[in-house]
Amino acid sequence: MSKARDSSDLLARIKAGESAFLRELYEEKRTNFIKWVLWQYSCSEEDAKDAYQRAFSILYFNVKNEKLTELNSSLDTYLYAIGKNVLRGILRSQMDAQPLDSVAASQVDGFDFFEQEQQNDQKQLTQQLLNEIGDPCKRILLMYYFRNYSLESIASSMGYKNEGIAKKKKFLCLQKLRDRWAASKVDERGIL
Amino acid sequence: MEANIEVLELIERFHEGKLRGKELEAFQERQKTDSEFAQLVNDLRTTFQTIDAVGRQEFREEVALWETEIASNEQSTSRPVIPLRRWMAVAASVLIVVVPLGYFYFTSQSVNKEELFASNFQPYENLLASRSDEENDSKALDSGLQLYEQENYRAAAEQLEAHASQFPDDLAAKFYLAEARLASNQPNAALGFYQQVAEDPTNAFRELAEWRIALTYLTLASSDPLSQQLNLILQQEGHEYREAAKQLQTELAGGID
Repeated sequence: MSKARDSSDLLARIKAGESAFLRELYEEKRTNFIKWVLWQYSCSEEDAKDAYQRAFSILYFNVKNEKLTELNSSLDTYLYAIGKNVLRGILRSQMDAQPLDSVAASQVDGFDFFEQEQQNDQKQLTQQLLNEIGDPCKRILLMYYFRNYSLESIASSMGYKNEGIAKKKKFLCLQKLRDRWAASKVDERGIL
Repeated sequence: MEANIEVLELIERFHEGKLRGKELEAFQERQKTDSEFAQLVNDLRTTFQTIDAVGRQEFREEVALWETEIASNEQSTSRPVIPLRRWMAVAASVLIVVVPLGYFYFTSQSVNKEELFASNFQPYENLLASRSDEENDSKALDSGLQLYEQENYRAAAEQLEAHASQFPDDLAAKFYLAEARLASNQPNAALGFYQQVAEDPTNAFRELAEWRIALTYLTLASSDPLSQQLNLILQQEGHEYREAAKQLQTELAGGID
């Protein structure tokens, strides 16, 4: 099998989001990554492990969201490039922890706190409702919209007869989530 | 507005970028004229974003759990106290297996060479970016370093080589030229420049260059020069890459800790 084929197969397997495979990959790359960080940077082993967890997560998110669709170098090189930036961020945040009163006015000018706060509230509410509707809805929505599972995989994983049922179930869950959200907004207006 | 399945499916396809041509135009027109529909489109955007955020959070938690499991396995495997006689018996068996394997590694193109190289090599951070050195100032250097920072190593190497031929005493630039060559998988072209840097006893990059020479030999699968280069580093007390060289030597011999 050619190298290009190898790497595209690898990316396809990562994108498929299967936990057992991702766990295996995580463990496979871990030791060398941590050793590399400890050699290159003067940081603690805890920081190195923290950096690896974050770098691996970012790698997965980038493959999943198709920001990374082909590898020009090895997966290790890509992972280390992410790790380098993550570790710089960790080390910088340790050095730059500034007291709240030292935030300059220029840093807050033009920042719409109200809009930001509103968006955060909306997300918090959806997150809460997603937890409230619970499984199987939460699981189905996460499998489809986050893990990119096919409807066929969802049907097989949830024990549904076919992908048509999985599709219907997915939309019913989305509808349920949206209805609850709409109801909670009405409640909110009622209180106000 | 009632969110029936057909409407949800339509909006989902819009957010996935799957609507095209007239279907997309009709959708956008409806967004403009039907405020409830527009609201539903926005609501679902937030919903999808939140599902993504929840998914990310859960994935991070899953990774943290893997880390805890692996770390606790590492601890539990390092705890048991092995009786000396048993340890020696195991060590002898390991040596019987490891010595030929180590020899095999040094004398052949090992399948692990690339991984070992990747785990040890990352192009060094550009420390010359803010250097204002009129004597050695050149457009090729600026451009080369810029490309280097953009991780476009092959193009960076060409610019840095143009600079190095104009300013042959600029060893710092030659160090980055070598880095760019090695990063773009041209170890033969990198080696000579690293050697020039390593030969200058006062050069700030000397120790790093010595380490890079070892990594260059690693990627070239030149077993004897690699072994000699690692020994050269190991003989220098306080060498910045002594521990790394020791580790690499151990790994090459098969005794990964």
